[in-house]
Amino acid sequence: MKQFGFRQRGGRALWQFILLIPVLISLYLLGFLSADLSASVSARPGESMGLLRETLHRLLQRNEAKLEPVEAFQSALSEIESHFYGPPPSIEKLTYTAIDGMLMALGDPYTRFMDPEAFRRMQEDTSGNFTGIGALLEDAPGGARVVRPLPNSPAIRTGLKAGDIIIAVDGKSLERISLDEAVRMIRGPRFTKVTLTIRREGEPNPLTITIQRDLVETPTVDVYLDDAENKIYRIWLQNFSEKAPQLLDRALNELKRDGARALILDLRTNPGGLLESAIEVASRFLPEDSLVVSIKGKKGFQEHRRTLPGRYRNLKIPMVVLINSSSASASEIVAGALRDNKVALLIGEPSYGKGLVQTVIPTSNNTAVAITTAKYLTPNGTDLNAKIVDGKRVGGLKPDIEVKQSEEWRPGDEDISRDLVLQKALQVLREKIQAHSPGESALRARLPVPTGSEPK
Amino acid sequence: MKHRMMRGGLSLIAMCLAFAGGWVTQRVLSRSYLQRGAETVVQRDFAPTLADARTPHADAKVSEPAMVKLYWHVFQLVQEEFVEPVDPAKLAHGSLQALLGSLNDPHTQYLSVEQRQRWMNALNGTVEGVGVLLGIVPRKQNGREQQLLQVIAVVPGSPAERAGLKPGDLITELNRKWIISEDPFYEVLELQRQHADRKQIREADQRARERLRNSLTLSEAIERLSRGAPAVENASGEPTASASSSAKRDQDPEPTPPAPNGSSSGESQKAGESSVLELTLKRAGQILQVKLQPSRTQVRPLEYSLLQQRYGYVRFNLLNSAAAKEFNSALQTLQRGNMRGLIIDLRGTAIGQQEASLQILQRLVSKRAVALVEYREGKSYRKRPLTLSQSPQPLKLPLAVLVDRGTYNVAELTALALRTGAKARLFGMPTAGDASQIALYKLSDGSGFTMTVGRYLSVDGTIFHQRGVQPDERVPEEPRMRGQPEGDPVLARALRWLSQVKEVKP
Repeated sequence: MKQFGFRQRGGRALWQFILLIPVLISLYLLGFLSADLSASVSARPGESMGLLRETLHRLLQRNEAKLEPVEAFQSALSEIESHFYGPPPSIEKLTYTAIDGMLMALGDPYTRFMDPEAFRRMQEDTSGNFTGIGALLEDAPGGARVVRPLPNSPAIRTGLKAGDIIIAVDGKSLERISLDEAVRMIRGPRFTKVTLTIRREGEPNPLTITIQRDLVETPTVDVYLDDAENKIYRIWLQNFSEKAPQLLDRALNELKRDGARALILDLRTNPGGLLESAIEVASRFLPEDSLVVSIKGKKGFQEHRRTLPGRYRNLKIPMVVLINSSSASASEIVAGALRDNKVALLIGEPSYGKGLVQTVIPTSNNTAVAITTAKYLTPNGTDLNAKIVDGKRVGGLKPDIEVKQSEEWRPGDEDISRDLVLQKALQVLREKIQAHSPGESALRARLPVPTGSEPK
Repeated sequence: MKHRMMRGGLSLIAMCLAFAGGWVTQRVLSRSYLQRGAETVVQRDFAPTLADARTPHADAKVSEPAMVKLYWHVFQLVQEEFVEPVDPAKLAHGSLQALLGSLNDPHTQYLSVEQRQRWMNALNGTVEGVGVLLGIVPRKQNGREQQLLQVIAVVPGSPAERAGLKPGDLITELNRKWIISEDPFYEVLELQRQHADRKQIREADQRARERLRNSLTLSEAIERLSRGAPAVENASGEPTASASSSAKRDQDPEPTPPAPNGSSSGESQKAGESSVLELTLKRAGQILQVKLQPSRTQVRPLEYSLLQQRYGYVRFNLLNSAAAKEFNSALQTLQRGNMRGLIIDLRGTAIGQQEASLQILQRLVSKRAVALVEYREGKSYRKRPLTLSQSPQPLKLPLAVLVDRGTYNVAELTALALRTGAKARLFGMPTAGDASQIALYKLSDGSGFTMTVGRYLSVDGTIFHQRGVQPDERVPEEPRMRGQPEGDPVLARALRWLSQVKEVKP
């Protein structure tokens, strides 16, 4: 019994010992794994990436060793810093250049890095307001010509007129100075003053005007009555800022009050803006829950954006949309949605073709990176983004009626006779108006009798 | 009870220890692993006209780690957020290309796997393409910044030598395509600045676009001139220079025979058209047209002979380790023939490496310090001597060195070191004038980059960068038969001097 008891106890100890070994081994492995896991979670350049993951990674890629960007960058940068013979380089600048180069390799012009300067400028631009005098300028011999002063701007209050040629800013001649530079000279902090020397037709001597700079609202919506007889109105939407939908509502109210019989939505030279604003605008013209745009993201992710409830205006008048090569992004979304939902014809030139969604992500050192995170597709599934083929842009929206614009025309032109795109739109709408109301047109003897074919 | 508790406690401790042990093992392993990994990322080695620089720091750190972190962050964001799948290697290449290109240094550039391989092959005596060493020279003309493609040296026995290309020639067109040497929109910008007529600007813009349409970038032109086999042209006439296709071509080294003129069979004519390169050259204000066919040129490291009156003649086509080795046996043979003096021919020697040059100098100069190297340390520049690794074993014979405009970089350094360290007399024309000390780096995927890491000076501090090494006796006449005193005026002049000089008695 004693022996047996001893044996039993000894056997139990042995048994426990044998049991302990696998436990210890698995704990050892667990410790190893958890260290590895914590390393890969907190991975930073120059630190452990997790040995197991690394080893697996290396083993899998043994046959085709690939260059890892961060490692390659770090080693090249340190070599440059310590051994490059040329002037000692700025590490910051080199880093920005290297990041630029990395993003360039993606082949997408919209994925870009913004250094502190560029990031600051971008933040100013999207706020929609800037301080200046509020005049639209164009290049002219010897200076800059005022295309038109903006409504409610310092320029219009001080009496600057369309056609005036600014030849000097604060006494500095604009001779041999580019328009961009001239604009930069004229803009400045709020409430500061700028003195312009202008040449005005009919005045023998140049005039000087001093204007106090103020906040200038970038114009968003302008309404034109292009054909008073047929009551054809044109709404020129110049961007998709936050205020655009509200200003559009005001314009549409005006049209309703005046009994407009046709509408031209002018999206020419509209570079786009906010997606939300585009959805709002489309909701004015499309019944509730119509598809406006599909957003196709990474790994098959797709989101369908539809018109919002309670916005539909149901105008019941014929409508066309004007586009040109400077209609981009949100403009193309709205134009595509109105066309694919068979609400309007597109007239003009092929649009720019920017159907990519960027997300701006701030990074350290006051820098940021804009990354293309998704693509826009029109309701019919057309990829809006243009591709570069043989150095030419191919893509964008193709208008239903393509019209080549006159070379004299420029955006905001007061003289609509040289606006060939608009002339075509007016012609199309006149025909539609007559097709819609033959009775009325029959009363007017001088108008031609409609042919009866209704353009769709 | 006590036993049991003790045992329980012990096993608990053992369990904890096991866990901790695993943790520690991982950390230790991964640290040593990473250190090894970091070392293999960048590796310096030799290449054409290349110097060995100092050994790289094993754990080189960037002075601003925040910048590396920023880079890392952007890369992570792109990988996670970009709409299309991302190829990290492609990003790394683009990044390094931009990074090194931004240093604006003619010898600092990223090299693809094939480009780097080409450098190594050239150093070993296998030169692809037309057989020229090309450089980009910046120039200013009428306020316009230009970047011109220049022939630095012509490889002996190459298609370029047969076609008569000369060092200093500017290549302006390739297959009638303009090699972009300046901003074609310069005129447009100038007109815009002058507020010129809209129509005038538009016309200038169209002209610039037209010019650009029929053009090649500098790197495209260099690529096409240095590729062994011809570029395959696709239907639109654009060269397909993808990595995969050139890699395939490497396996088929046989040069395509030139197409017979006037052949109408579509297939062969097409191949012939693309294999023959047509160059437009500018030489001393004159415009020349040259046709040549790229092929593979095998270059012998050196050639030697014992000339009349027992003067030894050694011509270096390469300054590589093979040349250094062969030089030793050449000297033995020449000395068995009782040579009285030695002529070193460095004309057109453009491919070489610092280490080989030092090995050759070791048999000729009398002091260990052969030159100076200026390098940057932080914000200041310092000089250090470039010394032989072994003590010199000079021949103690009168020495003449032949140089010309194609004597480039390490060869210039060699010529200068022979003058200062072996009392050699230099004959010919001023040398190319590039004293850059260049290092070639290898990255983990076989691609790499070159970088200027220093500048050579003579041991007494004479600068030859951009000035060239001046010969003691200028001989402008070109040789008809190189290496034959009757047909080589420079050699003849050197021989005349050697016969006048008193023999140095050992």
